[in-house]
Amino acid sequence: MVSFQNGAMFISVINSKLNMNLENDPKCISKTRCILYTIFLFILAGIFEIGGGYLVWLWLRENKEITFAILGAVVLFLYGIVPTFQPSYFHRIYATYGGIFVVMSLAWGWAFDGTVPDNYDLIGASIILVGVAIIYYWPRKGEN
Amino acid sequence: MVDIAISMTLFFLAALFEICGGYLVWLWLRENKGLGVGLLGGVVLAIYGIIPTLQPAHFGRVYAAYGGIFIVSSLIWGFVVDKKNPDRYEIIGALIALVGVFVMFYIPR
Repeated sequence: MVSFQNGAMFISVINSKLNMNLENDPKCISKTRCILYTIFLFILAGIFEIGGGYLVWLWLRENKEITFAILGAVVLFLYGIVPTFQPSYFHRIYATYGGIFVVMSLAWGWAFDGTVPDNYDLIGASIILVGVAIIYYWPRKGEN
Repeated sequence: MVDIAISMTLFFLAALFEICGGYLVWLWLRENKGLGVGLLGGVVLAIYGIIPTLQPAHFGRVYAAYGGIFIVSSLIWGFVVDKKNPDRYEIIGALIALVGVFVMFYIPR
């Protein structure tokens, strides 16, 4: 009950401060759920972008047939759709996504190319995540 | 040196196409601008997918540099196209993220 009230309060603050209407978004009925949902969307966008780009790469650099490129284009289009579900401004969503992209590329290289991140990679990635978390999740007052 | 110049130019070009394509899809779904605008965004995103294949060489941690360029470009896009000044927390957060990019990209190993 307490968390529901916190969630409701969060939504009303967001609605009044950001001039948005999140009540209608069932994914944002609580603060925790809203954060989990937005993180999920960022990760989904990263998978589509890296996956779509990889398919285009296979066509042009690895001489796979054009089907790969067409599929890649479709996946990149889907990548463009994902951020429209985010409850924020275009520029803020994209700036935040830039940081997510770096970390996911690092993870991708680790998982598929066996490129193990060194300490500076991990420190840098952590700093980037702190920075983009401030961009996206810092509570704003009096925003239009 | 020429490679680095080509590489950086391609990064900015990629960020421009990626953000522009995403913005057109955004206009379609969030601003009710019609399917044609959305499909144009899809075409621009497909072109974006081609740009990284033109990168002259494998540069190791280039994605970190690209992420940094992307963060700054997004805020510039909001400022120029949407007329939204970056707020204090966007600027602070972006500067912190750029420190992280610097650590990944520039610290000699």
